[in-house]
Amino acid sequence: MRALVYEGPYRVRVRDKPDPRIEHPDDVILRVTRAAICGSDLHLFHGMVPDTRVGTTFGHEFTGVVEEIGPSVRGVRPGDRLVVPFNISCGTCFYCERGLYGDCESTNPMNDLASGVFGYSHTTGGYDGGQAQYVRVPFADVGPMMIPDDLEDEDVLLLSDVLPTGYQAAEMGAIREGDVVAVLGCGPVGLVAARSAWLLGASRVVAVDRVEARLRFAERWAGAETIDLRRERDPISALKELKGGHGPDVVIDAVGMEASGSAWQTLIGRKLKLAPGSSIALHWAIHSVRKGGTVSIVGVYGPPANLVPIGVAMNKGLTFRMAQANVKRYMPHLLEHVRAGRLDGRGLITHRFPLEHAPDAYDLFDAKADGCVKCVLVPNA
Amino acid sequence: MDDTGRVSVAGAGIDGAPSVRPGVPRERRAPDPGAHWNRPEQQHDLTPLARSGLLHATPVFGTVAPPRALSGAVRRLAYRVPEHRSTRWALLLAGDKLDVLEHRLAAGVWLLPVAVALAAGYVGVSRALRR
Repeated sequence: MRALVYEGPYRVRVRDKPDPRIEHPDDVILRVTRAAICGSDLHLFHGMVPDTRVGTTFGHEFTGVVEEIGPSVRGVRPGDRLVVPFNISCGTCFYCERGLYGDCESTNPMNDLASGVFGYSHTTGGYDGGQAQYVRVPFADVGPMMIPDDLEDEDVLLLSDVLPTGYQAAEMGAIREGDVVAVLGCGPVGLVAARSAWLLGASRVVAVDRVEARLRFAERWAGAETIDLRRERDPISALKELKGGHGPDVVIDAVGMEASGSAWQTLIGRKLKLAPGSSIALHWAIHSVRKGGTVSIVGVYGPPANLVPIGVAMNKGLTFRMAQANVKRYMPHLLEHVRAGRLDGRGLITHRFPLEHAPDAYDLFDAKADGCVKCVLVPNA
Repeated sequence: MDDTGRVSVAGAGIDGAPSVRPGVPRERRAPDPGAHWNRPEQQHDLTPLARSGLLHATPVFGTVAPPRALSGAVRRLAYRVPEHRSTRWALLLAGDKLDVLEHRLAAGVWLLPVAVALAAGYVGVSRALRR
């Protein structure tokens, strides 16, 4: 089959690769119909995630058609159309039983950080991803959701990650009616978090970024006010002013380890890799949120330790909520929002590429050029 | 905002009650309806490189790009170090660099005979001209 292959930092190619096969009785093989490039794929692309091996195929947001099923699979049949959560979950372990699918302990032998994830390095289990013609999907009776006949693949593609992650980010903020919510980062997840904040009852939603096109997108798609970091030299003060100097009730970090805005953090975390990336977005969140407020984190940070002002957080009495999204748990609820037009996942897709042009798609998405918000690959065009 | 001062985003406030939010309560006790096992079967074929302290391989695991060559040795060493130690992650990053280097060298192996032939030709011509 043809598949995107990682060959080192800033270098991906489309190569021939052996077809995936059934390796466990509960596996299925999916023919991929759509595979999105996620902002967190760029952390892999930049060589920021430990144990990203040459030869790996990225891609944890995809839909497809079932080609082959393992002998124990009961709930899906060849020909079924599926949208697949990025977490790989067994459904019965200590964590899955509690609804914490992102913490499944049956799918990632490499560490105790998170569940297995498709195409996201050996740090999350060493699985190939969906930016290919075919992909192996373990525990097909648990994670994937059947795509309803009245919806097209692109309508539900982002239920695999972006919509649940953004919605959960807002939900973890425990937003109450009338709250002021700030969202750091206007990538797809930040946009969904901003839009979800309205659904959860916020009275004011402010999105922060430095890319002009994305700020305009946030105004249009998420109905948010915006703060442009190119013009605003002191984002913390600007955010505090949103609520009479107190700061927002909830700040959502949808940026993660590759935030720019601090030369020191960039040097230590991104260039020298003495810490796993820059944590400047977290600094802004902690300093700007009101005392007793909530910081919700869905931006990706690597192990093991970051430079974070925990003393400020303690003295302000902040609540921190953070997690990899428990995608399976959110899919049915968010499907209804998609159907009703309250969360238009398809509307986030700005660019489509055939799989053979995947390296160009990575370059474009990485540069945030041409108004790019979300790139989707079409593997079997 | 509309005339009442409420925001006119479609669905604003629809999930305002915590009881309708899918992640509330954070933890619940309900078996997954799709899982038809108490404990999943074990994947076989090969044993994955796994973290220190893990007694058995997880029921499923990825099999892409098994460790090999010097980068594989460094990765094997890394996974013997507990994950709360920075050494483990530094070794993994070093393994990544070596992996890329090995790949680039392997991709250039076909150039070796050409380089040897060119060098031999250069030496031969140089000697001939000196005579």
